[in-house]
Amino acid sequence: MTDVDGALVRAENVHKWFGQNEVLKGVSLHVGRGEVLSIIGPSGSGKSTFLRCINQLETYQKGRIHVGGELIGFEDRGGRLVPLPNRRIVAQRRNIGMVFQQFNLFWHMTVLENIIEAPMLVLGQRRVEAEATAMALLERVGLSEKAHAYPMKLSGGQQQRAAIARALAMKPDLMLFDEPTSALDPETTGEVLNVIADLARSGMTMIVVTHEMAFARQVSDRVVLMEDGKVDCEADPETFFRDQPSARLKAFLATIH
Amino acid sequence: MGFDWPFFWSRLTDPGDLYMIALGRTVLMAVLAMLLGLVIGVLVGFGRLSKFAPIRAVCAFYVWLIRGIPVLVLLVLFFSGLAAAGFFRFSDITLFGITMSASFQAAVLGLAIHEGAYMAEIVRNGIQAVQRGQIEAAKSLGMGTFQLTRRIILPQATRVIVPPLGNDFNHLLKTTSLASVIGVQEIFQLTESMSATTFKTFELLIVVSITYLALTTVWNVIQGLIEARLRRHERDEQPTTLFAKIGYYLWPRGDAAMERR
Repeated sequence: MTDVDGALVRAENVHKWFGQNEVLKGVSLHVGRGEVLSIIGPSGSGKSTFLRCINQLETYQKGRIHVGGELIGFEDRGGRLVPLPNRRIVAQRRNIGMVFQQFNLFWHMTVLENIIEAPMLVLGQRRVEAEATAMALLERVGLSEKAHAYPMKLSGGQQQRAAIARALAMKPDLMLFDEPTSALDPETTGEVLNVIADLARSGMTMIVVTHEMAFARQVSDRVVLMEDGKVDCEADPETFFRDQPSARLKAFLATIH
Repeated sequence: MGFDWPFFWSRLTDPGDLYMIALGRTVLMAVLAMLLGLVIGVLVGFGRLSKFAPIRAVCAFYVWLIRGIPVLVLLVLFFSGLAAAGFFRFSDITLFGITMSASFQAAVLGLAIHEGAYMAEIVRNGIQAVQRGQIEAAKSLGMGTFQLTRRIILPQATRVIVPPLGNDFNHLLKTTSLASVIGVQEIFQLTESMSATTFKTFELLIVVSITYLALTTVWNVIQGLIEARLRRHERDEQPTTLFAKIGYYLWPRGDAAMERR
C-alpha cells in the first residue's frame, strides 16, 4: 500500500482556493511509512487546510494527494481529475485518523460509546469486540476510569486523550493531528503530548500540525515550515532547529521565543 | 342567575360517557396531528437544508404558505372548501372496528399540515444547531451521510428540538377545539351543544377549561421526563426520583439554565 519509494503520503503541487483567496499555493510533501512529520508555521499559512485536504474535509482544486498509493478525492482519467462520488471519499477516510483542536467528542455519548461508535457502525464490529479494543485503548491513554463519563465532565486534556483513542479504534494507517494541544491549559498539554509521543514511538505514521516547538523537536523525524500556502523548508529536527536553514524560519522562530 | 355550584360539581366529578368519549377524541386528534405533523416537519426541515435547490424551494414555499393561513380557515378549507369545489370529499372510514368520521379526518389532516410547517422550522433550527466539528469528527471516522445523520445529527438536534416541540404540542392540545367548527364532536363542541340545552353556559365553559388545563398539565409532566432524559449528560448529579425529574424541568436551576452543554 505504499508508493514505490516507500512514501505513505505523497502530495504534489496541491492548490486550494477559498473563493478568490488562494490558501495552498502548490504544496509538495511526502511522509514515509512509520515517519512522524511535524508542520509548523504562522496562523493562516495553510497548514491546517493542507491537513484537512488529506482526508477530504476540504477539497483541493489542483495537484494530487496520494495516501497508500491511492489518489485522494479524485479519479485520474488520462491526466484529468474527476471528483470521486461521496461513497468513495467516505471509504478513503476510514484508514486516516484525525484529532482536532477542539476534540469534537460526540457530547451525547459516553467516552466508551464515542470510541466504539465508528468501529461498530462503519467496520461492522460486534459490541464485545469493539468494547475490548476501546478499553485497551483507554488503558493506553490512561483514561480507563472515565469510560462511562460524558465528555463535558472531563478536562480538556482528558477529552483530547479520549479523542485520540477514538481515532485509533479505527486502526488507521495514518494519524493527522490538527493543533492537538492549542485549546489546552499548560498543565494538561503535557499529558496529551505524552500520549502522542508514545504513539510516535510505536511506529504510527503521523502528521502533526503544532505550535509546540520542543515537542516537534523531540518526537518528529522531519519538521516542515509552511508559510503563505507553501512549504518554506524541511529538515530533520536537529538541523531544522539548530541550523535554521531559511531566513523565514529564523524570523518565525524569533517571533515565538 | 349566579353560579350553579351543584351543577358545576356534578359535571366536573361525573362528566358522563359522552364527555369522556369527546375527551378521547380531543386527545387522539392532537396525538395523530402531532405525529403526522412531526413526519412532515422532519421531512420539510431537512428539505429546507437540501443540497438540491428545487427541494429547498418547495419546502420553503410550504412553510411560507401554511404559516400565512389561519388554522381555522385551513380546517374549513379542507372539510368544506374542497368538497364544495368538487375536488375531494372526506368520507367515514372504519379501521380495526373504529370509525373515523369525515370531519375527524379533515381535522387531523388540517392540524397536521399546520403543525408540520411550524415543526419544520423547529427541526431546521435543531439541525443547524449541530456544531460543525461534530460532523467533521463523524466524517473523519469514515461515517457516510446517512450514518452520521442518524447517529450524530438527529440525536443532537433532538436535544434542541424537543423543548419547542413540547411547547407546540401544548398549543395543539387546545387548538383541537377549532375542529368543533367542522363538526368534530370533541369536548368544546359537546360543551357548546350542552349549553344550548341546559343554558348553564358559564359553568360548562369552566368545566371544559379545567379539562384543557388538566390535559396540558399531564403533558407538562411527560415533557419534563423526556427532557430530563435528554439532558442526562449535562449534570453531575442526575435527578433520580420521578418528582426530581419533573422538578428539574419545571424549575431549572440558575446555573443549569446558564450552561449550554
